[in-house]
Amino acid sequence: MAAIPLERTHSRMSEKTSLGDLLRLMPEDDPRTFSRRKVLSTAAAGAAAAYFGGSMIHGVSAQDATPGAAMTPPDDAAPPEKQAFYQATDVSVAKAMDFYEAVYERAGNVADLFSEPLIRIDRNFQLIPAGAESWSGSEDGKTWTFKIREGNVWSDGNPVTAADWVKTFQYGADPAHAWDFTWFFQGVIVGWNDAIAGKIKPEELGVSVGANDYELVINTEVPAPYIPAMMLYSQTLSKAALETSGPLYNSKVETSVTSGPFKLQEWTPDQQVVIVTNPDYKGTQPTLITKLVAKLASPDAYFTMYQGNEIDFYEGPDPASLTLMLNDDSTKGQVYSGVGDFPTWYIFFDVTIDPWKDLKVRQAWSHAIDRDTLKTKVLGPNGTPAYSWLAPGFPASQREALQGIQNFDPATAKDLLSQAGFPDGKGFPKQQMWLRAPSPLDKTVAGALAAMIKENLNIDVELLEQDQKTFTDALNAKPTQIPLGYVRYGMDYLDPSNMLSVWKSGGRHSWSNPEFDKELADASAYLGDPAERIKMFQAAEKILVEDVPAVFVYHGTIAQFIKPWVKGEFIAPDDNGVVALHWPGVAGMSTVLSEMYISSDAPDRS
Amino acid sequence: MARYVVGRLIGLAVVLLIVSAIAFSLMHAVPGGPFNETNHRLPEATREAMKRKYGLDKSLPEQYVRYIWAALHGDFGVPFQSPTETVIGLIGRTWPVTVKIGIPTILIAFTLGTFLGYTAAMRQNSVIDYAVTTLATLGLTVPSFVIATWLILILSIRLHWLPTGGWGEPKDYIMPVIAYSMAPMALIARYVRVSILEALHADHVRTARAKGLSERRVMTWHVVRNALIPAVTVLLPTIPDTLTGSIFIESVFRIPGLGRFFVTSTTARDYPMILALVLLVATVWGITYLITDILYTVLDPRVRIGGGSIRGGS
Amino acid sequence: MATAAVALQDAESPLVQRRKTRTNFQLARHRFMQQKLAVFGLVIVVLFIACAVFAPLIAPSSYDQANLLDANKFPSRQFPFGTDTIGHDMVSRVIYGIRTSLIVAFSAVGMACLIGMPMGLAAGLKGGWLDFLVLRLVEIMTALPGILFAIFLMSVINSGALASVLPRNQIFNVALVIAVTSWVPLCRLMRAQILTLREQEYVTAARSIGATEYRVAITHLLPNAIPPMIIALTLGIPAAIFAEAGLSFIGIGINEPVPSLGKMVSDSRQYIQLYWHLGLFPSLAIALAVLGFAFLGDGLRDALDPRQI
Repeated sequence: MAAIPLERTHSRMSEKTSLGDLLRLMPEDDPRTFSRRKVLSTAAAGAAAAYFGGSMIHGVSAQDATPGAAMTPPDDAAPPEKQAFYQATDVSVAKAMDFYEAVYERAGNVADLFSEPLIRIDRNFQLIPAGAESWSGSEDGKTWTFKIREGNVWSDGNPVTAADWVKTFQYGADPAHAWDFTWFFQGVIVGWNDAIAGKIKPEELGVSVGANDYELVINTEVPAPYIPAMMLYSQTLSKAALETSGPLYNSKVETSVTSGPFKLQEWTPDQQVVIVTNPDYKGTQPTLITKLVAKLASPDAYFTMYQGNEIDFYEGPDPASLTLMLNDDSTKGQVYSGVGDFPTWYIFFDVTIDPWKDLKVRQAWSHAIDRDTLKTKVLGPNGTPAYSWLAPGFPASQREALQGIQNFDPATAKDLLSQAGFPDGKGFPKQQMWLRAPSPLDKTVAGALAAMIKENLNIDVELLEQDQKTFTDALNAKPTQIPLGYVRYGMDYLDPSNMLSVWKSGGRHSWSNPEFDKELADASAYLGDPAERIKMFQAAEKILVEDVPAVFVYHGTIAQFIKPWVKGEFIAPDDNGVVALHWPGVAGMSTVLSEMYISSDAPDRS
Repeated sequence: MARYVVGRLIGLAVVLLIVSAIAFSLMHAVPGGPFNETNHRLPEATREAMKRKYGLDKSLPEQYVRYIWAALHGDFGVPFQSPTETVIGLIGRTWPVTVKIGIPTILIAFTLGTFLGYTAAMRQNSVIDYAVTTLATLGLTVPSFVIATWLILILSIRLHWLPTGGWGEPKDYIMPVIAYSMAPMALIARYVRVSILEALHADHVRTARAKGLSERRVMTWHVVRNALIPAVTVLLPTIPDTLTGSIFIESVFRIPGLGRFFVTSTTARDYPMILALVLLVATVWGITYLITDILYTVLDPRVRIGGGSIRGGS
Repeated sequence: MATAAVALQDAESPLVQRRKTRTNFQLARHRFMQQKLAVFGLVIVVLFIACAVFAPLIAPSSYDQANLLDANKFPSRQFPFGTDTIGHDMVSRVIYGIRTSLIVAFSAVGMACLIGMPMGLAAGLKGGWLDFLVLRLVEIMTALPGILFAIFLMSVINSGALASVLPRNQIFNVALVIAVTSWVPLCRLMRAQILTLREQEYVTAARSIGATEYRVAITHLLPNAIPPMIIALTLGIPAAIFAEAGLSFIGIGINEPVPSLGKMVSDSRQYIQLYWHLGLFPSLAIALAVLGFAFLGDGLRDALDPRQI
């Protein structure tokens, strides 16, 4: 049996999952980009199917054994009526409660808890069964059968069956819905591309009920052993409610239907969303928390809310708040930092135009950034210096080996700039650096970068803050309209092919290097020795770092504030020793809820 | 008079039409659309589907005409930012909150401001005058969001007297109203002071005094009434200003009012909401100006409505 | 009696208080100097303008010079105003900030004047259809919410769509946007003044002796319409500074690394609990500037008002 890269067992999907991106099979694709077929040959697919099919049922925990069983609270837990967890959500994006309604505009922190996805992930990003109790794939890897756990019910009395999932996928593909996540399943599920284009009806999608009510069958265009991993994003809607009340049924208490651990108690627009224990819950995620509150506010109010104990959790604080918390001994212990989705922040160039066409200019820029001082003075626990693309802890990351290529060396920087024809920055056109809806931290970092460029290269850089849509529009335009920018990318999938594919020709940026493309394609498709595959990815990354289409600035390790009365297993160190409220946080997709409780010293916040 | 008012109202309707056309063109001039493409470009098919869903697949003039036609029937569409309600519903929910903050602000600003201005004017060049003038000017020198932040820092975080923000209880009014009323109050105090001073020294006042009228009659009938004309011009606009909400105050204090939609609607490219806001503000201002001009005739009998050149008139 | 008259006019006589005739300007200046606040305002304004003009000479370093190692320092001997989060010397930032803010404010107010005053004058004088048009234009401009209009304009400008028409100078663009959204009050004020003044007795008097419309406007109406305009203008300067701060708050104001007082105050908001010096000095600068212009305006108005003896 051909060895399958070990990364396939840790499948981590983020909200920005680009599995579709990674394995795109769109007709418009540039034939040079690698396709799904190159990733998995049929033989390998069969082997993959066997591997995945056979070993899919991971360790059964005490919870799995008896779904819906009550948990015993620890000694210092607060009484049930006080087990409430408060979070803050950006008021401008809280439009929907369900993933399959609007991914980027749902009331984060309390969304998707009204049903269960087929699978979820634990603290170490391992897949474990959730709505599906087991799954298996056919020999050719193109038919995937999920056995739905029996016994879970919707609050309107209907049982949770495979038909709900079928209806949900059909809704996702319905062009009238115009779901903002359709790219995810492009080329994966049979008929998806045609359905979203309106060429076939959603009912003709390759998702159907199997031999009985509790069997869900997904047909894929190509061998797809990563389908179980993709099912992290399968928070089903209720077929009955969809048909009766329409897709926004969870926005009102009267029409809300739940099969998850919570039910909707209150949605006051612009104020808060409150969900409380669903007494009829019979699923796999029992929790001691009886109430989840999402306070809707604009992000610059989050810290004052945290200080006032109005919320218990705050992720991604601005530098001032972070410093305040760290300087105070009584609050230092509330600061954690995790790996998030292994993001890297970088300055990018449009290498097809002057002056960025010249490698020497780009190299000069890469040597002009003092990342160590940036870390001590600006980032703090929020990040570590980046000299290469893949963050430490990510598979194939090789920071030590590459850190000499884009290192801080002002003398060399000046020299290179002179060689390029701009001695001491003379004659270099004034630059505008585009920022994408920058947070306070982004603004400070960008300001520091501009100051460093000015100091070390004597080039004037103006910072242009753009809102999300203007930026994305300009970036995605072909040819791109952004000459110089500063942005981040975080992984969608725990595999080097995912992160590195950002840089392939025709991808996000204008850089195009055939050698890199080949190395990347070969490595992604390689099915031999996993260590060898890693080496191939590293060779590709080396090309990337040396050709400097981007100056890598830092890898993010987002800081979090967690109040001391929020306790439980969720905060125990993971296999890498990282202590944080792991991604994706409090959600049906993670195990955090089952591992969290509020201790009795929490303040009263009724 | 009635003919004049009707004429002005018709004019207002024309203005609304023009304003909506300008806003419509401007908002489509800004690149990007309401779809969300955070990290990945959406598939073409979905982009098309979204455009169809939002009615954006038609030509611009056609979209505009459809919008106006629907608006005339009372249908202002569904805001992209909040698809579970209609634009009317959203405004109906958030505008009253803004007005609830606005009215106490206006009352406090006008009463306190007038009192301070009057006091300063009557005691011109005294210490009180200097003090009031300086204080009043200071109220204008600090942006409202700075005042707001300091208020939160002192009253909420340090002293824990008030919550940091939010809405629902009477105590949620205190800090926003204080922060919001500083600037209008200062403005009013300054203008009242200046107007009264000017009027006090006016010839017709000296005449009135010379005629032997009591000070009180002089003050109310001649001084105050004439002082009010320039004051009215400058100050009446603060009312619609306050009533349409401050994005800063509402953002800092987390008040679920209309103010924040002015900014978020643009960044979200929420076309129905933008047009609705524009029409709302236009109507409020139009009516305010109409009232202002009518007040002129009451206050200054020499002002004739309807213009006429210098040579014209009686 | 002739000899007595001659004696009275004798300049050397100690019994006669020589009364020089003074020009209007001298009278005005005398009145102005008598008001302490006005003089105070004048001094401040002159200081600030000097600061703005001579910024490169008096600032210890350039506004875009920063050393990260010096970041977040509180006021000290080396850095009297402290440093910001990137390591800029706050003294330099405030000095250049004054320069930027004043340039933006003056440009904005100037442009607003150029737009608003002639229209208000014409509308008030001619009346009729011209008045009607101007009033409609005023209504349209006020009807467009300033914030929305400003955001639209700035978004379109920032995305480069108007690059062929407008210079790529952010300061000019911000001033233009502020001017375009703020000329209306000036226009309305001018018009209201004209409307009232043209019915005054001395206007009727002038007309009755045959003065042309033009002469009436220039000699009688305009000078008397000026005082409230002056107040409006001097308050327009700080209003423009605030408008720019407001635009910065939303994120569409002056771009870094060019400092402006408004942007510094807006950005310092989040650090207020910790690095109070970041907001204190720019706020003080704004406060002083506003005080200065306001007192100056008051003083000028009082001094130029011919009815005040």
